Order: sequence, then structure tokens, then C-alpha cells
Amino acid sequence: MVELDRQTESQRALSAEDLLRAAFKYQDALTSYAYALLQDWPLAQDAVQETFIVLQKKHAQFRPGANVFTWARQMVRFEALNLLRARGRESCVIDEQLFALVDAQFDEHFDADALARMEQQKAALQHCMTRLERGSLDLLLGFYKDRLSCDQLAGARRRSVNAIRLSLSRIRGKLRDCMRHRLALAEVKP
Amino acid sequence: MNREDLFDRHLRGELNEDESAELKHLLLHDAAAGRAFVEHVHEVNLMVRVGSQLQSASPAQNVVPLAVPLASSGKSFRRWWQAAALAACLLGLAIIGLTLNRSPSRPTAPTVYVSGNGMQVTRDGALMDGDMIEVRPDDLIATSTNEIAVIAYENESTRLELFPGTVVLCGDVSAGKRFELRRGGLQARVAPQAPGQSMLITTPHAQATVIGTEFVVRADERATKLDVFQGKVELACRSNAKKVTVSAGYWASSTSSGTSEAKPLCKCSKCRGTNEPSNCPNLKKKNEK
Repeated sequence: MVELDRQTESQRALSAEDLLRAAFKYQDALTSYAYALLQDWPLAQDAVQETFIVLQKKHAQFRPGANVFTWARQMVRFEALNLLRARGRESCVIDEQLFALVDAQFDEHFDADALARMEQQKAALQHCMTRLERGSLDLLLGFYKDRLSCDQLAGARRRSVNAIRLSLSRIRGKLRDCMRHRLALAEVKP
Repeated sequence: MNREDLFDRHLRGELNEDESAELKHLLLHDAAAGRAFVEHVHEVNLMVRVGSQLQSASPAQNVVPLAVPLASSGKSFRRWWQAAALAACLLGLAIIGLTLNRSPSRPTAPTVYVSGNGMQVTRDGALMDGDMIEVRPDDLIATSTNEIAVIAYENESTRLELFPGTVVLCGDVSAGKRFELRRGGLQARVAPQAPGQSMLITTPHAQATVIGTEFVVRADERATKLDVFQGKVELACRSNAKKVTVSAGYWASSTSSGTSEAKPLCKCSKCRGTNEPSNCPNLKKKNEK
């Protein structure tokens, strides 16, 4: 996918709109990257949104033939550092070694194959998540998106902490099974 | 602690010193663990993104119906005018209809339509089929997580680009351009509108009235942000009706507690799009003056 983009992008200079459109294709991948760096999903979303704005403004600096994903990823890294500093999180000081290590993992493992595989996973996940009950969905989002602790979730639902942990693990397991099944089906279909 | 829990604790910013050291060791020495980490993060990200979209698409408690007016003064007078305008429109439509019926059969084209890969348009609870769909009142448009969708008007240059992961509810398109941005963002280029036909974009926190301009509006659970590039947009907080006019080159935001003053968009390189004056020495100086 990345290779293909490189070929088409090398043929001409991209307009701001074209560049943005090309970068949007990687929004999920860029958000995952920002999420790993910032450890906060809403903040990761902000970083990627800001990246798109900067990307649009600086589209003239994009060299024809360069890789849109790599360029956008560098900007996300910049934005992530910017946000971490601006938010005054330095009270607990950025762990630069961990930041660099996380960055290196994405550099190494976010290749064209991985991106294509993730696209398939996303389609399967979209299907599987529509089958989740509302309560399970709220629990998942409360834990990952709102960063509520198991204690807080247990208090809000009048259940024990262990029951919440178990529920989270079961929901994740259910989703994985469903995705595996869905992906296997997709492979079988002509 | 198993690997997955360790990755989760990292994503939640809960690692203690020992766990942080354990994660570093894993990432540094175990290539398979590195790949598993990347896949885990991506999976959780998708789960949150898709889950948020599903949550927004179902009737949310934090979304006020589009028809709720901001101010109540002159309500009956306005209603009278609306009824009169509606009657005039109907009369106009009847005349146009009669004229068209006399001419040879001409295909009736949609006036507003939405197009995009992977977008979902829900009408009366049913999913609509097609890559280009005529927009009707109460249509719920949801873009996929990595594709945009475009709402375009046939007889004017107005165009709305819905960002990936956006959910928009269409209002009565015949009575002006009304949209409820439930989550996500959109960039709009709005052709100059006739008086009383301004575009209205409502979010959970604010209502933006657009006369003819180019802007970006983004909404999430916490706030609505508006950047204006051309023209003027009036941003009103839905909770206290406080209005701010945002001119070209300015931005403002609105939360459930109120709307901020309009501030200049930062254009210097140090800003990197954050609109944060403290990052931008030139702007800071300008503000101080």
C-alpha cells in the first residue's frame, strides 16, 4: 500500500487537498502511533488532528516521491512531544528512553504488510463490535478511552473489581474470537 | 504480570518503575514482543475509535435535538415569518413544477448529496445503499475511520468535507443548511448565503452560524473547536447562548460551560498548528502590545 502510494505520488506534486486525502488513509495508524507515545487516546486524537492542519499548511514542503505516511508520522511525533510539553506533564518528566523505544517499535513494525493486515483487522473489528451489548461497549470505552480504573468502574456498576476485570477480559476474548472467525471467513471467500 | 496487562498499563499511563523497566527490557530485547506491542496498541485504538463511533451513532444523552432554539425572544414573530416564507416557497415550487411539466421529461437531480467510500447513511433506521446518496432530513451520516465523505450542493459551490470518524445528523435541508455534528470534524467552504438561509452547524456544546466562509469545526465529548480561514462565523454556546463572532484568521472554542473569546490563529512555524500563543513568540508580543 505504501509502495503503491509512493509510485503515484512520485509522478506529481500533490495539492494540499490531495496530500490531506493521502494522509487521511493512515489516520488509524497515525493515531495508534500517537496513542502509544502519549498514553492518552483523546490526546492522541488531538495530535493527529493538529498534524493534519500542519500538513495542509506545509504541503508545499512535501517532496514529490516522498512517503506520505513517514512524513505524517514524523509530524505526529513532533506534535506528541509538543503536547506533552504544553500539557505540563513534565511534572512526571517524559521518560525519553521509553518514548524512543516505543518510537523505534513503530518504525520497525509499521511496514506496508502490517498496515494492510491492520486494515483487514479493522473491517473485522467493525463488524464484531456492532454485536457487542451496549453495557460491554461502555465498559470497554470507560477503561481504555476514559481511563477509569477498575475500582471506579466497579463502583459505578455496583460490581466487584474482580468481576470488572473478568468482564473486560471476556469482552476482549469475545472480540478476538469474532475477529479471528471473520478474518478466516474473508480468506475463504473468493 | 502478563504481557497484555503490561501493554495496557502503559497505554493507561499506570506503569510503575519496575513495570517500566520490564517494558523497556522487552522492547529492547524481544522483537516478537515489539511487534505484539504495536499490534496491541493498534487493536485498542481501533476498538476505542469504532466503539466511540457506535456510541455516538446511537441516541446519545448529551446531544440536544437540532430543533432547540437558542433564544426565545420574538419567537412568535419569527414563526409567522417562517410560515409566510414556507408558503412563498411552496407557491414558488408549484410554479416551477408547472413550468417543468410543460417541457419534455427532464431528470430530477438531487440538490444535496453525499459521497464517499465506506460512509454509512442511515435513514429511518435503515442503511442506505450507494456511493452517492441524496441527503434528506434526519439522515445520519457516519464516515469510516480512514475515509472522508463530501456533502455537496448541486447549484452552488458550498461543500462540506467530513473527516474520518465523523458522525453528522442532517437537518431540514430545504429550510437552510442545517447539520448536527455529533462527533469528529468537518471542513466547510460555504458560498455566500441569502439572508435567513445561513448554514447552521450544531455540536453538543455550540451552534455555529455561517454566512459565507471557509472554516474547520471539530467536536468531541469535551469541546468544540472552530478555526476560521475566510469570512465570519458566529459561535454560540448552547448552555448559556453566549455568542462570539470569529473572523478570518481567528479561532474559538466552546465547552459545556461557555465559549472562549476569539483568538488569532497562530501562523508561525513554532506554533505547529497548536494555536497556543505561548508557543508563538510573535503572537505573544502582538498580544502584549
